[in-house]
Amino acid sequence: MKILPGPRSRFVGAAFLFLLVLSGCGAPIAGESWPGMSTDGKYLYVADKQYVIRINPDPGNTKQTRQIDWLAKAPGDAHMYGPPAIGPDNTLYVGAFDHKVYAFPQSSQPIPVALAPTSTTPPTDRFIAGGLVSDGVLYIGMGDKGLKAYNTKDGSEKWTFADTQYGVWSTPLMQDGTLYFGSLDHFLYALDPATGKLKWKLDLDGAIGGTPLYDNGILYVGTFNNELISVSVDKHSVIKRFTTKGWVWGTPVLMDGVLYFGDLSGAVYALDEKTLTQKWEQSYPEFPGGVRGSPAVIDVKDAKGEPTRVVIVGSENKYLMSFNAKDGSKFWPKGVSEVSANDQILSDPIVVGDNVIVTTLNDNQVVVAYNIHTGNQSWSVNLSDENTRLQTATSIPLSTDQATESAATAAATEPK
Amino acid sequence: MDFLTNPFTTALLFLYQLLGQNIVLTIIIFTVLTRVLTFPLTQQQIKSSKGMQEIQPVMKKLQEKYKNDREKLASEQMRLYKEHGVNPVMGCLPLLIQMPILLGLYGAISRALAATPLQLLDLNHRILGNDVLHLSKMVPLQNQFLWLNLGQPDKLFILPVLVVVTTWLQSKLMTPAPTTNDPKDPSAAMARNMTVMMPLMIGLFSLQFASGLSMYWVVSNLAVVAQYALMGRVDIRNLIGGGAPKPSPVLIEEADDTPKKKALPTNTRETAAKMAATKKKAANTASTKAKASKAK
Repeated sequence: MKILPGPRSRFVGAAFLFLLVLSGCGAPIAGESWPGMSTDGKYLYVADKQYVIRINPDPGNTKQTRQIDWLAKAPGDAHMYGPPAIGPDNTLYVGAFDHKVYAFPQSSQPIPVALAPTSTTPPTDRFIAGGLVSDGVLYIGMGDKGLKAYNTKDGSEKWTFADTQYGVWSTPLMQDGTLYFGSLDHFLYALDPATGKLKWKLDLDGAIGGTPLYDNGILYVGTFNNELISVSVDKHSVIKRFTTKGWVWGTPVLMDGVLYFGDLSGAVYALDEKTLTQKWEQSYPEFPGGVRGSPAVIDVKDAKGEPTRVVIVGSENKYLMSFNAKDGSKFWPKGVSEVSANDQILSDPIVVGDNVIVTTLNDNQVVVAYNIHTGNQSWSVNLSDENTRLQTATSIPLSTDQATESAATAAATEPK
Repeated sequence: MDFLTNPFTTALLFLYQLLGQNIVLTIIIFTVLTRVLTFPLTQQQIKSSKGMQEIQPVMKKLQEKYKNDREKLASEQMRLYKEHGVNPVMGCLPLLIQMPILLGLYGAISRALAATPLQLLDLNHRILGNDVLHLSKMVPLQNQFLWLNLGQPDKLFILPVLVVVTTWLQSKLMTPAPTTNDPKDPSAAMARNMTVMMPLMIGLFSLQFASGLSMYWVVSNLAVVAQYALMGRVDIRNLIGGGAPKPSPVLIEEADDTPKKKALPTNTRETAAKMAATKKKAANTASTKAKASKAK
């Protein structure tokens, strides 16, 4: 009979236990990213994991669950999260985690094509940022460093700018013949879009995760050093700094001389555009969670029929939060949306009709639309495995009805 | 584990700031510092392990002898522990105390090397005292070192190989030599298998780990070997020949008047010699007394 194990066994057992705890019981490491969403004014395009989907946000459709209008899959199950960039011929361009940028033709049999497959300077890391298509060129930041330009006509590489120290995780901005983007290396860059040559750069003392906002010769940039900074594009220098409570990741929105944005402490701010002085700052401590994305600022009529401007942001707390643009007071009765999205809302919201539409980390409702006036959920899109399998099994979903029919047909013919 | 991971992450970023934003140096110093701080616990564990190993042969004999009398076995074991100043709990307790610390360190490194947007978002919530320390300025950490992107697995497989080699080296050098070469001994066989399997398993995991974590494993393994070496506990014989089995133990049979002398491991031999000497002395005293009374 053996009561205690030997010392050698005990050592091995302890090491094994340690490994088990490390691999299984420790706090899970966060995943990859949130679904990116863009719009051409008619459709919504979402990239999430290995899929790019198209959704018709038609306000006339009253169904609670929207069918996926069109779906394409990346080769080799590569994951994609950047907001799809829309080309002139409606081709969608999305950077992937397999170090490639794919072009997805919006056809009934979408076969993605990797851009510049024989490039002599292939990307060395995943693509996290969304791309920008301008004058037949796709500009897209790379996850580890730099930015690439591709000709959309033939997918060839136009140039590579590799002189950033860290990655470029946000969509670049084209303004007056200059390409602007921020990098995690703390610098704001201005490039010549024709050649990729650096025009100027400016150290902003904190990582930049969002796209700059341009207005009247001034760029507004949020940083992970808890600041919103205004930069003169003529003098290439900082004009003003505003200190926030948390990282500023999203792009601010400018309306009538007021900047609206949120930070990762959960606070939402309204600042004077010129002086960066605070008009109001508001948060809902009873619903804690950071604001990653940009706000949606919308003019609506309130319950009394009076015109009102409302600021709506998505939050890590799984709710949309609403504020009166005038003073930061609650717009919806609870302040937050009536229903939780079941997971974090980290994307930039898009407004279509009376709905503000966001993506979530939950596959069962990867896209959720909320009524602007009430905060109630209008509809959602399910990208769960089964739904996706049915869609991809048919490869022809192009309209809502067709998708429903083909899914039903596939389900009926599926061997049990 | 946030209560551990968050302070460790903050400390890691603070050290990163102090060390000129050199992440490799930060990982090395941070790992070594943690190992140094937990050294008293490691020392206690090593001592206890060594003691337990030394009395193992006697323990086996006791287990055989009292296999039908658990109560007696327990009391004899307690007597043996007391005699050798060994506390079996102290072999595991320091390890259990160290485990959360090492988990915190591991968690901190894996989270600080945030390589995706969600990981960076997560890191934001783990930085404590940012108002005072302004550690957000350090984000993201420099993750390029030689050919490595420390936030991603090593594509050249050099670090995973180093992980396997150093883990194997560590277990070979610091695991006590087997007390028997008996191939049928299940615990010895399991230990032999695990000495090979563990490094391979960890190596396999490291193919998926961020290479910064693999670097932590390598540094941590070397730091442990160094600690053992400083205490003179590294058993080179294990490395070169698998370690010769220690001589068979002896159990002083109390019921038997003539102890069966067998080859003894050093420590046990000393104890047995002392006990034998005591018995001999007692016998001599008794014999002298008998002689004296006879003479009277």
